[in-house]
Amino acid sequence: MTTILVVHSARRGVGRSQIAANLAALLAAMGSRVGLVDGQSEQSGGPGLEDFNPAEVRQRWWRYLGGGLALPDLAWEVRPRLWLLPAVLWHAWLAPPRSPMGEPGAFQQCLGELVAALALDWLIVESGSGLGEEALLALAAAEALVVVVRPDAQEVQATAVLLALAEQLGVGWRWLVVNQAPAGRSRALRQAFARAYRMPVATVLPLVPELAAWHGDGFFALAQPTHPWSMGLRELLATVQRAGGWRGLAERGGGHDP
Amino acid sequence: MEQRTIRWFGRRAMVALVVGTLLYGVTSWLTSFLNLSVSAVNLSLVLRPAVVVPILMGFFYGPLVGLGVGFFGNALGDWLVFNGAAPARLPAAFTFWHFHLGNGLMGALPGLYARYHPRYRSLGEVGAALVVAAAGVGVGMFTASALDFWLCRADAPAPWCRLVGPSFEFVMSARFLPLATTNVINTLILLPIVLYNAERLDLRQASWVRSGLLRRLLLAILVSAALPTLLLGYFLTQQFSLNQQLAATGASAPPLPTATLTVQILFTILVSLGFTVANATLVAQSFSRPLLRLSAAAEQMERGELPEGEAQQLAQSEGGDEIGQLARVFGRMAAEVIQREARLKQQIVALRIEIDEAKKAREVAEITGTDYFQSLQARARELRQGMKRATSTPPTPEPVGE
Repeated sequence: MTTILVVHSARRGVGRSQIAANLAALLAAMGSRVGLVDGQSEQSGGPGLEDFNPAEVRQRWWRYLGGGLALPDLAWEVRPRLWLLPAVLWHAWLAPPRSPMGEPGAFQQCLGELVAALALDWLIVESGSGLGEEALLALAAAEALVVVVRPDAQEVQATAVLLALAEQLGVGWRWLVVNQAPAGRSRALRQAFARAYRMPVATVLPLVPELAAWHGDGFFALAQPTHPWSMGLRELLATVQRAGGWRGLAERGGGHDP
Repeated sequence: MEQRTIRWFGRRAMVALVVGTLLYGVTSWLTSFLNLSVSAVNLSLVLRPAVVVPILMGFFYGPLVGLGVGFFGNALGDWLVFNGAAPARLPAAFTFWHFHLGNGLMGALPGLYARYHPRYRSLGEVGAALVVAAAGVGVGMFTASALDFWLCRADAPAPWCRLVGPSFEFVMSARFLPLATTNVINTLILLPIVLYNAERLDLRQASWVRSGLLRRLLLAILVSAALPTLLLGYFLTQQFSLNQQLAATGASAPPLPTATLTVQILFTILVSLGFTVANATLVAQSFSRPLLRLSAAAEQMERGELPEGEAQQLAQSEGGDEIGQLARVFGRMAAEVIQREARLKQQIVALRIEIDEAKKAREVAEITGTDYFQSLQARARELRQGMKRATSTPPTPEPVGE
């Protein structure tokens, strides 16, 4: 059973990619089978995925279309139990059956088949920012949502609207993550955000200037496990894993929607 | 600390030569005038602090200055000492020129060493300087004694010789050994203290005069030094008046009560030691307590846990010395930083709490009211159930490539 977790934010540049990639890496390191989709672009690998070669991914895609490659070969295994999936499959799956994307249902089922073939526990999607159509579709598909905010005054309103819409669209778990917090402000920010949004804050991650230019070996949270940022992210990981555990219980018990 | 270079000679060396010569001459004269030297009893341990003057001058101003200070300083000392005894004035000062030369060599050897390594900071450097100084004393005193032996030789003795044609062994045991031993012991005691302090001395800036720490240290050391002086003075005057009383009654002077004297000296040493230790502990405490408090506050500050009240207390620390000044400056700085941080924190917290609930409800309603959103809700059910169907059934055999 696969849980779709969407990492979203009301605007760009809040460290969404870092959080999505490192959360996926942590989940995989803890033993889950994780698929990661960069819904934003097909061009770059993103943080921790320096080995990822977009040209080869495109080549694989054409070879798959030509019938020369099996569907699971489209997934790029960056680490044990962590696969990078082509975003085009995600978009095809999201699109309504009669969309300009092509023949209705041409690749509609590909994502589901791939996810099933890899027996993924988690599908983590970094969706686009804002409240565009693509973002709303991602929310509609998501069962869990991580909303990343930065501790300044901007986009407070848009984030609140986003969370309300996610609730309306039946997203079972909604977690608020404050990223780029100034040193020593974590507790105050946690309280202020929890009060403003009337929901607990899953974690507060410190501002780490070197994270923006992290060209180290692989994923930051794995390479620097004792860094405050990594430790903060593990707090989110624990929350996410607990939710996964409840879901498992619920399904065994009777399988109602979250 | 800039690297010191030792030149052969120059303007500074000239001044050093004059000052050193005067210092050496007058100190030698004073020690002899005050009759502190008890060489008559043939004791090796004689108070002769003057010996470090040419050695120091050599270490700090080079071989020529060392040589000159030793030579002329000793001559000046001789002149001052013999002034009353011999009517011949200046020439008498140079009668014992070979001893002047020996003293000059004592300063010249450290000077030569300083040309190559003019630093006396570490323990090793001071140790090396001590070895060089002792060697210089040995060479100088040996030269002087050997010349003495030659000048008083039997066939053409100098007019001042008391003993004509002494054996070389006699000269060595009567001149060289006592002189060298005395000077080496004095050097070993005094030179490390003076070198250590001279290397760290900086009198160019006048602030040291106003130093509160200097005042406190000076007071503590003076008080410590006063106690043995007072005690010994008291014992000595008692002894003196006892002797006088005995002389007045016409009784024969009893033998010196050695036991009493030993007890008195031992008592003085013990009391002085205890007093000095107590004094030093108190002074060190008064230095270290505020310093420890300061470093603890700095550590708290680093963690961002320093209460503002404590910073204010530090800002009002008492004490006129440099430690008190440091505490006040630190306290003011800490209080300022803490207040600034608190203001910033308030701004950050104040920024957050502004969700316009009515506006939010309006915006949400605008989106959820559209047909698109209605269809999206339906699509959400479809998508989730589709994924559930795809993944809850066992994976279908993969499409066969090729």
